[in-house]
Amino acid sequence: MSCDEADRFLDAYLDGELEAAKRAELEEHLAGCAVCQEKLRRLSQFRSFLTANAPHYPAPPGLKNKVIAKLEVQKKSNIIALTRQPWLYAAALAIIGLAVAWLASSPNQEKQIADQAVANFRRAALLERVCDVVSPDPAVVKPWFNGKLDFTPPVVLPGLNFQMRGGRLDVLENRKVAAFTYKRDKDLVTVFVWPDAGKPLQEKSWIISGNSVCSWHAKDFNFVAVSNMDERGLDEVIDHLRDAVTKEL
Amino acid sequence: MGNASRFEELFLPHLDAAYNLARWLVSGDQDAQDIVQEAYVRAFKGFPGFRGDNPRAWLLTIVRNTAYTWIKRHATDDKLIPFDEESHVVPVETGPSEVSQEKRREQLEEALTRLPTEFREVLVLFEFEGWSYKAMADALQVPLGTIMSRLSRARRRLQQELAQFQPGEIDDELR
Repeated sequence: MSCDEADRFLDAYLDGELEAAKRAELEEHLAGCAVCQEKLRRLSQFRSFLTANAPHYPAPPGLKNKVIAKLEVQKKSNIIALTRQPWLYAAALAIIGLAVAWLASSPNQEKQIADQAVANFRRAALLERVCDVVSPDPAVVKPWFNGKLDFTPPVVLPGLNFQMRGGRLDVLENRKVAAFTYKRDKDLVTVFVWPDAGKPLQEKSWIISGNSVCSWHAKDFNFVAVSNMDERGLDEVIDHLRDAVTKEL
Repeated sequence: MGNASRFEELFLPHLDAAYNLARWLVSGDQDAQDIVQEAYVRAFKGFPGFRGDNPRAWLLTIVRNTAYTWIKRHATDDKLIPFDEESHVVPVETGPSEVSQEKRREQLEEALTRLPTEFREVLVLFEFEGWSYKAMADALQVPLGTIMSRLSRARRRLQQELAQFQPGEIDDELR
């Protein structure tokens, strides 16, 4: 190794960054070259001087709060920033459009059915014609529908000390549907069931004319339940009915 | 926003290092403060993509990039123009002197401001942040050999700048 070459590697050598092979070459040269040894000594001294005296600037006292303030602004503008991304903006608009379309159409669909279901529920009670087939046993109720409907309804029990009163034919949305009635003391629940025919109902609930109403969809069937219980009571029954339907189908 | 508090937890502790680096690169308090603020905003925007295990190094790289953008925007001097690759230190012979520690620091600071930004950068990252050549090569996106020669030239150029103070003002050990 020549002195010129050694000169190039002195810094890396001191920095501990010289690869082993080069280091060996350099050390061999240094061993026999007083000039380069002296250069190395001076360089080493200079480095000590530099690290001991070079300025270190701590952050000024107010800077932290300025940074935090900038970040706060940034957090708030994260949503606004969406509008600066044209295609994200378009996507957001499309989603809003879909949401508006959905709000405009489907709630009406479910709400109309729910209104009809409540009317049916009350009429049946007034006419004292709640059940066409009276039995607590699904094995009795289910076959009763044979030939009366173009589908086979799931017939299930919700548990929770409810007893099945029986079933009847009813009409919702201009089609024949199956209706089942359950009773626990004064609590009454009527569940309407029909095939979704490609128009599944969203899960929703309402209070209509003092009755709790809930719609849902499971396994190709639409369900609407009407009850004289409060919403929480009905929710509990529906949870059990859903489970039972899933097991049955 | 949990993400935001996580960000602050990870990055605010490195405010001093961020400011120090910015201050070394642009050598003005207000400019350095502006750069640090901008760098934190940039880091915050990029935070969802941060996968590393070294937030300090990541932040400093952003500070560094922000400073360079700032320098280019405010370029009125030739500090970024390629420096003389072949500059060598002229040996300066000076006698022993009684220069105070304070004076030496002032001279060093003054000499540093005369260095090209790229030189100050490798000096501060290596000497004070303790970055390896490899880490600097990655952050600066230059070959390892460039880091080696740049750091070496930075020290020699700094010695040269210091030597330009009148003989006698340089401590003997600096010759």
